[in-house]
Amino acid sequence: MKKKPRIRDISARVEPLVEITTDELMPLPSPYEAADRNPPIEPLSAEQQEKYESSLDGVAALGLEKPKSREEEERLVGSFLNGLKKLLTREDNWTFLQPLVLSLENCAKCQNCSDACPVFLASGRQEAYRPTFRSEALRRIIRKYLNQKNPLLSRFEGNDVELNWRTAARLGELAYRCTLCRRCTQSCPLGVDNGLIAHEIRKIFSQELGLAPKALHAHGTVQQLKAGSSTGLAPKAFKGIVRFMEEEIEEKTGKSVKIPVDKEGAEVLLVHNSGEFLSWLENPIAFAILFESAGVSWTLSSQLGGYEATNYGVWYDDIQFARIARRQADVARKLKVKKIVVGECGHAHKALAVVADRLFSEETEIPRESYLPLVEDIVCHDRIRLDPRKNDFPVTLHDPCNVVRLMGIVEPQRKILRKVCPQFREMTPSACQNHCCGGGSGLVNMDSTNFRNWGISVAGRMKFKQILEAFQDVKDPAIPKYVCLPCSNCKGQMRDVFNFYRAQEKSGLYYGGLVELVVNAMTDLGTPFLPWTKRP
Amino acid sequence: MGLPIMFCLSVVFFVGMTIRRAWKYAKQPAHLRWELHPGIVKEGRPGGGSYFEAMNGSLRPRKRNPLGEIKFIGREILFFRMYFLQKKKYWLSVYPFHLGIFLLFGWWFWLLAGSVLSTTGVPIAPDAPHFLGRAVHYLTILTGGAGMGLSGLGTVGLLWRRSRDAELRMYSSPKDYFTLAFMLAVLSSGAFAWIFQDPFFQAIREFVTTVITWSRGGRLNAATTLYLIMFSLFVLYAPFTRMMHFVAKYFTFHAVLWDEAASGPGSRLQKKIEKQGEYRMSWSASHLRPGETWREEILRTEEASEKAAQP
Repeated sequence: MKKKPRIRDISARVEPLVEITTDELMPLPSPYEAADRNPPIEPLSAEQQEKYESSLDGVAALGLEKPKSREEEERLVGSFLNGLKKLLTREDNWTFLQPLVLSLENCAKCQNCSDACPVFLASGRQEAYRPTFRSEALRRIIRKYLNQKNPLLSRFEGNDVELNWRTAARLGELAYRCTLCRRCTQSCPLGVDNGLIAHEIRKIFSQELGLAPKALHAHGTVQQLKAGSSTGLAPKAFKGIVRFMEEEIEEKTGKSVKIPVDKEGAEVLLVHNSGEFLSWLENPIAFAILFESAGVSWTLSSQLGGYEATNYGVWYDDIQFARIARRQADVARKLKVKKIVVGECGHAHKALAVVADRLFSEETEIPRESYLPLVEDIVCHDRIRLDPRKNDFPVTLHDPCNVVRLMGIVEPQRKILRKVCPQFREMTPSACQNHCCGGGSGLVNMDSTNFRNWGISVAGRMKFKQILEAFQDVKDPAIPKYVCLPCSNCKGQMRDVFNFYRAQEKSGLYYGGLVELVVNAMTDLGTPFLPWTKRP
Repeated sequence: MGLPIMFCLSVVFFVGMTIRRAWKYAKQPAHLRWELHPGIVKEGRPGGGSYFEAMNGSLRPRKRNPLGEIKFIGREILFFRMYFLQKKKYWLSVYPFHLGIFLLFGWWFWLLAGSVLSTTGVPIAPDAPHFLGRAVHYLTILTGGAGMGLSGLGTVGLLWRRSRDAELRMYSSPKDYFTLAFMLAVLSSGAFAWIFQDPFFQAIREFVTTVITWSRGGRLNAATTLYLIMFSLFVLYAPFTRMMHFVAKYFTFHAVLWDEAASGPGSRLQKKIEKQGEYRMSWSASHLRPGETWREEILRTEEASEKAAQP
């Protein structure tokens, strides 16, 4: 085993700080003990290694190109330091200054947070992935370069991190080895937020250096502001998909449903993650069937910004985040709906309902809520007829961090599942103490070079283990099991993890959203909504 | 009068630095919401849920739960519950360390109370005629002895853990060890004075009397003098250490993790946020324009996306 890196090695050590091998990863339960490729992460090609910065762990998440000259390197390091200074001023960072300063100045270095981090644990306790590693490196840079000018006192304080390109690049990469699930913060007796520090490092790169993962910026927020959605789905194509959804509903259920689009004055504007329309159309279809059956006054929007719930800005750039949130609220107000209801997309919940809350003025304010209390109301107040026997298979629930720990919606989804799934069982730990799926904060969207390998083998490992443990009593792959993932990003992550480990074949694992289960239990649907639940 | 002056200055300096730090945190700009659950701000919901669990919950008034906050923080301060549940070995050092410090605060309080009482003619002694005199006598010995003992044990434990446990050692600086060693030296000098020269803390109480009455007292014994010098120096040094994290705890929980306040129409918070929207930012990535206000930047969406899309 390689010697553990010290904090100062972030600038000093030339070879990678982390080397991921199958032996060191947290073991998975049977039948996956030896399922990882060896090595679990494909090495970058020689050309990629030459071009991209990957000295953290041999993985290139940000796609940072190595500086080509000494001058370029100095310029980048200077920009990083400038960005760091700006991060600590009220004019440039009023949005998160108070929590950031509190977290930078008050860590007791007790490492209580380490055992809460699924990435650190799943990696086999790789030192550089410890929640405090990147935070402490950043603190030492701040103290050395911005606060303490006396070199002797600086050494006494332990400020031994040199700021060079390697340091900046590794910090940038490390900010994308954290899913911002903030489980570490939950375990900190002082409320210090290492997730926030990762978020703020991402901001330095995006807002000052103009460097952000393409999947989040150029193909994410920029595309959303320009074309209407982060998937590139334009309004015309969206309308086409809605027509297709109506045909699908009629074909599969015999029901003729007219999906309302741009209906002025509706109670609810429902916004989905546009990824649902492209990858999991059954989810928006299930919402349409459910809302129409329950008589909800609702609409979708085909306006630019109105059919896309995502807001990748919340992960890396405050200004892009605010631009998107404002536009989403504008669409709702123009439609004169009573409120925006966010569908099964975790980060969209947090972004629009929580983080954006203080950005709206009297003129721009509009109520923004989760779909969960509304669906709970439909299910638990018998507004539709349900037969839970139609869902008589083992079901477990994954709690999306953004909906549960970061927003406090814990019980409605459980009440729904208890009502419609007789074999519902919790994961351990669950609810606010849940583990992240490993794809949070944009990690699942970032598919450049070998980063998805890392996302599956390391970041998704803890959740996969939890899922397998939840079904320990029904291991037979012939028994279909459903992992309820009420979040688009979590679904994307588990899709990749399940495919990688061939989990459907080996363990009979299926995944999907929450509303699909409700619709599958509806008595007035002739054929099961979930096709694999059809009895032979 | 040199020692009383030094003592007073150090205490005043410490209090001043504590207020300064609290003021610094309190005067930070209003931030975007960044709460965490299970929160304290809940309406008796199981599982730690928020107002988002209810239909139209966002329209309801968001009430804080001050009693719940005090209960949580009080439990943390008194028992260090999170450490106990998550890191028991560390708790065995960190808990006595802090409990000892709290007791020492109590000890100084009883010394002060004893001084005030004795200046008003109530003697402090085991056989004092007045109940208060006897009670203060014993409480002073109890808090002082237990405080020094527990915080001393805790300091040794923390020093040992920080030097033996690799995950703590890697993150500790020379200053961290120095602070603990300094603390141990102060406590040892106090314990020495107590055990060998001042078993009932009479001498140190007389010193406190000279401070509060600003009078010239009798000659202090050498051990107590040494303790008071070291204590004063430590109190002067403490504001420059991580020991000041006690100031932050209120803010991290109350003002960040439990803060669900809405910037409702006409509210102070909304006015603050609107003012902050006029701050000029200097971020220089290509999708931003340094020198523009936040409001201008947020509203400039189309043009910004065009520009950012350019290679």
